[in-house]
Amino acid sequence: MSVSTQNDVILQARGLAKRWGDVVALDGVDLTVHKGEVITVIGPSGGGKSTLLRCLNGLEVPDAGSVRVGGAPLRVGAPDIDALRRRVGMVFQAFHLFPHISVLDNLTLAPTVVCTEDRATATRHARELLDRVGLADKASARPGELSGGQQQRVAIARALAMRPDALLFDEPTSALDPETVGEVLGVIREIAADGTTMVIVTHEISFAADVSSRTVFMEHGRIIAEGATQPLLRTPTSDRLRAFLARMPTM
Amino acid sequence: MTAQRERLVRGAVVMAIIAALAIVISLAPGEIRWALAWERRDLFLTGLGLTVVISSGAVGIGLILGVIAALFRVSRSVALDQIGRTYVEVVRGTPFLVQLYLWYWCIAQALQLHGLFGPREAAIVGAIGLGVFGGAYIAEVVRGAIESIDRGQWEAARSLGLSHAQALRHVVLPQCARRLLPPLTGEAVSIVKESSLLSIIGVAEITYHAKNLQAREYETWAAFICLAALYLVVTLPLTLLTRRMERRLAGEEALPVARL
Repeated sequence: MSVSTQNDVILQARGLAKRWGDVVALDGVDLTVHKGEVITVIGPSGGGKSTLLRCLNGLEVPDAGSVRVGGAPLRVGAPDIDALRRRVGMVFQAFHLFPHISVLDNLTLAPTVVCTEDRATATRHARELLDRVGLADKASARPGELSGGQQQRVAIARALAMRPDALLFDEPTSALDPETVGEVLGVIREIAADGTTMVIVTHEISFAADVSSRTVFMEHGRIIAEGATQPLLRTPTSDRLRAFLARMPTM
Repeated sequence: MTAQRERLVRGAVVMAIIAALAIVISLAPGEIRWALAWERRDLFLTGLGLTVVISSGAVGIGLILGVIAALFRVSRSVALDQIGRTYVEVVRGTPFLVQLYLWYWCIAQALQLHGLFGPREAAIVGAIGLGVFGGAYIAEVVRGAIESIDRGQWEAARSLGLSHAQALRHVVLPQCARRLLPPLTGEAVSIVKESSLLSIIGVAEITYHAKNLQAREYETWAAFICLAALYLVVTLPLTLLTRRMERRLAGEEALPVARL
């Protein structure tokens, strides 16, 4: 990352801690996300990657620590929580599209319900986004009629429909058939190239290597190593990161 | 088994059961005076009409109370949740007969309505009591449907910035509606059946007329066999409708029961 000032900080987590009974999910995690950054979070399953991501938009409440969205503290139950969540989009592993309405309505529901946009503007924007993820012809389809890869592309467009300051991806390709992984990663790459700020939890190391400017390696609820993606993955200085990368099939 | 054969077997079984019932009825001591029931057909039909009217009113009241109680139970307010929970537990934990006594003797009396009480007022109190009773069961049906919606739907809605209420209104409840129709029809059938208890507070619905026939003419068999048959006239279409809706939903969402 080049020069950064306080002004361009979009997300800031400080000292996040979270336990599930005896299991430590997060153990003092700090993360700062600057405007335009693409950060990938890698590491073994159960290392706390998803919990970190879910804390960043208040889907999980940390036991300790704080999250700030554009400088404002994110507190679940506070009156401004919905407004802050709108600024941070989320793409889930299992898509979670709304099955009872059309693809187009999936994109326009949130902007019209929370009244950030009138219906005409929301519809126009939604059609642009569907075009961008290559699904303009599926606007009137129901989510159930789409393949997994198509559903995930709709989910990405749905998150973008709120014009968020940052997008969070929680293992966006883990629930997909191998042959549809590529189309989803392709869409994420394109959005990244447009300068969208993103945090991506992924097991696709080669994808992480070419999409992200910065990579964070987590294990046992801690950040073990982080830094500019290319040097971090090419010449890892951490033994545990090296061991992790050696176990991964690609790279 | 082919569908045609299955229908054949089902039809034969129903016929056999009806034949068995006819044999039991033929064992009745003395002659059954069906004519006495037939003479009162107008009363029976008026009573059946009142049963339907009261049950419909009760279903309406029950739906309103049930949906409100279910929304209380899934709200983020602990106080509202507890109000909903208390309502459901008290109503489901006491017999409807006892509730009816409470409505008719205690509550109506406390409100000093008794001097004004005629059959019409009894019917209104009965319908309210029945609606409050049905509402508690409907609340659990609605709550069950809301909770059957995948947690991911809530998370997706909230992550887009929808409030709890907006997520409920635009994402969760529309998905419940379809799943709710069959069990709600089942609750309507229950309410029709429970309405027979209103006869004890003097509401002239259909059970009331059957009991009159028995008391005045000592014609037990004709009175109650006709009564049961007339309830079936109302409940069977509802049950069949429920089954059709369930089959249609199952066709879209799951495979039918495999008889292996």
